[in-house]
Amino acid sequence: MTTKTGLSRPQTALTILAAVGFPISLYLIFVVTPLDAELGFTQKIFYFHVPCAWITYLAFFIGSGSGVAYLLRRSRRWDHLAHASIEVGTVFTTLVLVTGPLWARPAWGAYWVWDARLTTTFVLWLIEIAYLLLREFVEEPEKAARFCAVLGLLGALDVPVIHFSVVLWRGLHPEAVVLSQRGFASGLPADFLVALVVSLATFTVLFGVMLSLRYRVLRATEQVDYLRCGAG
Amino acid sequence: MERHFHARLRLVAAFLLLSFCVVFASGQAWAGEALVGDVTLWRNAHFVVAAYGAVWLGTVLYILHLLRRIAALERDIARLQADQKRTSS
Repeated sequence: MTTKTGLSRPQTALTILAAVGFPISLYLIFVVTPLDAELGFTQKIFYFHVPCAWITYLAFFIGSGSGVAYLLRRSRRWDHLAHASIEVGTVFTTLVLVTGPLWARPAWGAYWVWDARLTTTFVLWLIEIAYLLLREFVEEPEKAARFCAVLGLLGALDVPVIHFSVVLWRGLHPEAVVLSQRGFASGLPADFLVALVVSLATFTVLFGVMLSLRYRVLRATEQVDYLRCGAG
Repeated sequence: MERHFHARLRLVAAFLLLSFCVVFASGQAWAGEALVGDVTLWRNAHFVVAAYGAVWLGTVLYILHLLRRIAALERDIARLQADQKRTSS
């Protein structure tokens, strides 16, 4: 069931939530939350960088899980979900790789260092690009789905390595503040935490909208191909 | 076919561009000695605001693009289904 905008009801609800969450998160980030004593205005990138990293994890979790479901069930729906999730996730990983250096320049004096966290995130981005290239260049959809499901699993192995890299190899990157060993968001002041949680929720909802729309595009494209084959 | 080829090229170009940026930035020859204290509020505010704006604008445009594609595909589906019905009857 779709509305006049072409969105289904859940998609409309998610879009409204994202549209409401966006100005609220910006208000909290730029008006309510005080400037960080050490990092100043550059710290504001944190409310943007961390949610993008969270979406990267989430996208890979959904993408690799759907890939496994495809290998077990051989249903195209699972493959489309995996494809959509990794593709949207790639956008957010790219944002992580862009926003991180913007913060690193004033904080570390360099845009990029081959720190464990940065390097493993870059490796994940390469895996995502390889995944998308595999989709484009393998002609047979079934074969592409199989290969991509395996590659998605390989990428999923990198996610915990990224998360724990700051603990395993002490580098320049700050330790995790949201999901740390000391508990959820421990050591983060309350006003910083509220802005971060609202931003995380908004980005998650936005990811939901993008994922569901991309999934619909993939389903519809396959249906068109099927109908064209039938007509031909 | 040509459009599909261009889509592939765009992907490869995006990959090459970001890889180049990361490798180039890691050289740091142009990073200088700037520290947080040297960066004024405006100099360090404008890129944060630009980054936020670019991403939110980008996501809105991406969603609109997806909606247009869905609408076009659904029109194609309806047309092909109507064609099939006509030929079968």
